Amino acid sequence: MRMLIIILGVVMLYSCNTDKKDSVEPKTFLQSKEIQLANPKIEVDHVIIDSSSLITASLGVDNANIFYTIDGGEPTQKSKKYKETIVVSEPGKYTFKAFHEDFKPSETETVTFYKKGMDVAHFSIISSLNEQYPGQGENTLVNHKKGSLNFRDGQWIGVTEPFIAEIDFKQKIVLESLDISFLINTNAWIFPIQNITIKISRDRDSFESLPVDFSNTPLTQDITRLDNVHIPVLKELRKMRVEIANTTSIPEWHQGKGNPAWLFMDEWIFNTKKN
Amino acid sequence: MNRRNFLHKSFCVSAGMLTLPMYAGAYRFDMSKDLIIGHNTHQYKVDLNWGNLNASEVPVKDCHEIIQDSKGRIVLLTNHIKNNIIIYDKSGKLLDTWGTTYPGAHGLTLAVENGEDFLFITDYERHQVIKTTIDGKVVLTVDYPTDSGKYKTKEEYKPTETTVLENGDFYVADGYGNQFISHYNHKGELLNVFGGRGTGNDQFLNAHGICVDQRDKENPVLLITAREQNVLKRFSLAGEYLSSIEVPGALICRPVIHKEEIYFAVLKSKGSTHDASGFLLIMNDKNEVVSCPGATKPVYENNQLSELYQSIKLFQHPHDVCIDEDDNIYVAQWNSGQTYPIKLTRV
Repeated sequence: MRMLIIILGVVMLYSCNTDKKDSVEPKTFLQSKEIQLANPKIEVDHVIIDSSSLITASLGVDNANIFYTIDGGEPTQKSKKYKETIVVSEPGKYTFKAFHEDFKPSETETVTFYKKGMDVAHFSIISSLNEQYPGQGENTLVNHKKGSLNFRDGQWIGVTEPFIAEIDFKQKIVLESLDISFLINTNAWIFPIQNITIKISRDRDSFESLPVDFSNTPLTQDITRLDNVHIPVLKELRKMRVEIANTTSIPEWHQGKGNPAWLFMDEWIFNTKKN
Repeated sequence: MNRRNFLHKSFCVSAGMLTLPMYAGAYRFDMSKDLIIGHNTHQYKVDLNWGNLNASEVPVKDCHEIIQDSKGRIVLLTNHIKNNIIIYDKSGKLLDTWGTTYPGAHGLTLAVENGEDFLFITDYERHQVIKTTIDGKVVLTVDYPTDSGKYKTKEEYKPTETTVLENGDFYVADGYGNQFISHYNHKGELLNVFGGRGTGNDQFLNAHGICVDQRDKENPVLLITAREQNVLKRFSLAGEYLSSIEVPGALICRPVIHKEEIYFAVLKSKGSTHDASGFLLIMNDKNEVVSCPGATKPVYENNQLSELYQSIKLFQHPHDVCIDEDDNIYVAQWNSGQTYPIKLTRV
């Protein structure tokens, strides 16, 4: 028995030193628990819903689990667990987060789905387009297609001066709201909308101002994301004139400080009760 | 050995065999959770303490490139003009610094001539390539190739990388400028210009890195990254396009050949919403991706590599790698909050 105890002791010691490299290397290596998972990769076929759309989420780390919410809330490990492609048929906000027992949880990744807006009869761009990023001209913002994170994908209009457009609905409509989508990619000097001014006309000739409650939280670090401004309208109107101001002075922390920023917009969604 | 002794020893051996894996596993599980990154044959532990210095005395800004010289020292290039070059030993101990005149220090390449080490530095703010001795004495300065007809002003020339042949010829990649590759002889006389901005096979978007691939001694070729396009392009030494190797999702900086593999820092993941989404990428002797430390495992389906992307937030904007004789990797990072290189120890 004594011999057995000695052997077990030797085995335990040996077991603790089987990896020779471990025993001679400095114990300064980074620990898994100090590292955060990257955000789950979210793939969506389209975010403007006519009938339905699909979302897939992945991370590529063994034993990582992805959880999600559909109410904009922060996912926890008690939220719905992502298991397979999700079919989306209603507008909403899907938020994903990855968890793993060895790592810090990821940050959240959110995708917003929009109901398809009304078809716009006549959309005129009053200001001049930049030659580099004209998108597909006047149709770009009302073609029911959203741009991706790649600002060169042809779905984006990029400007460095105020953008002005006039929309003629050709008949009186009750517009419930307007969604204006834009891109933030500070590394490419693309910053959020600075200001929005809207005027509406019931008779096509005389315009009145529509109050727009819009504010931006100043950015303090580099970021890339799709964003959206939702503007309640609830007015009867026939024409609309919209002026969007780009960021006129890039903040101090950025290498482009003091310069005007790019403004990249894609889809404008005009929401009525009918659509 | 009598029967009693045999049974006793057999029992002890069996106990040891049963106990060994349990304790070995328990030890690793409970006591050590060293992060191990990478895949297949190329996996690493991470040392964030290697090479950290007193930033008030030896500061860095962007750590753009890193090489190992003939003495085995690790030489780092930063665009901080207090000390553009920082020289470490392999343990991370500071040995020397020099350089105050390279505000756009970006590319760093070692050339060995008759047993003596020289450095080729590209500076995109000076619009020049500068050849120095290993201790910083300038021996050659190359301006933009005016005779090529490809440049109207020096501002169009923003060189990012060089590679040097054994005969002293060198090539310059103009990755932030007009995207041409300029070929010079050892005197700095222009021999050829090819490439240029575009999406054709023989053109580039962000011709960021270049190296000569002599793994096949009989057929040396140039490897040139088209970083924005996530492609590594192969050219003959005469500048003829040969083929492309796609690495979907990976903004590869420069190719670094070590033994039979090619190593890359990947600045960021193309599809990531998170900007600091870089990782590393390693190709085998067949130019197949075998490991991506910090990212998803490389998977080929129907001979097509699936899109790669960062899986853990370890690297920010890795910009270059250096591999020592023990296959450990030193990673220099751009725009990472003025951090020093990261060392990866191969396991």
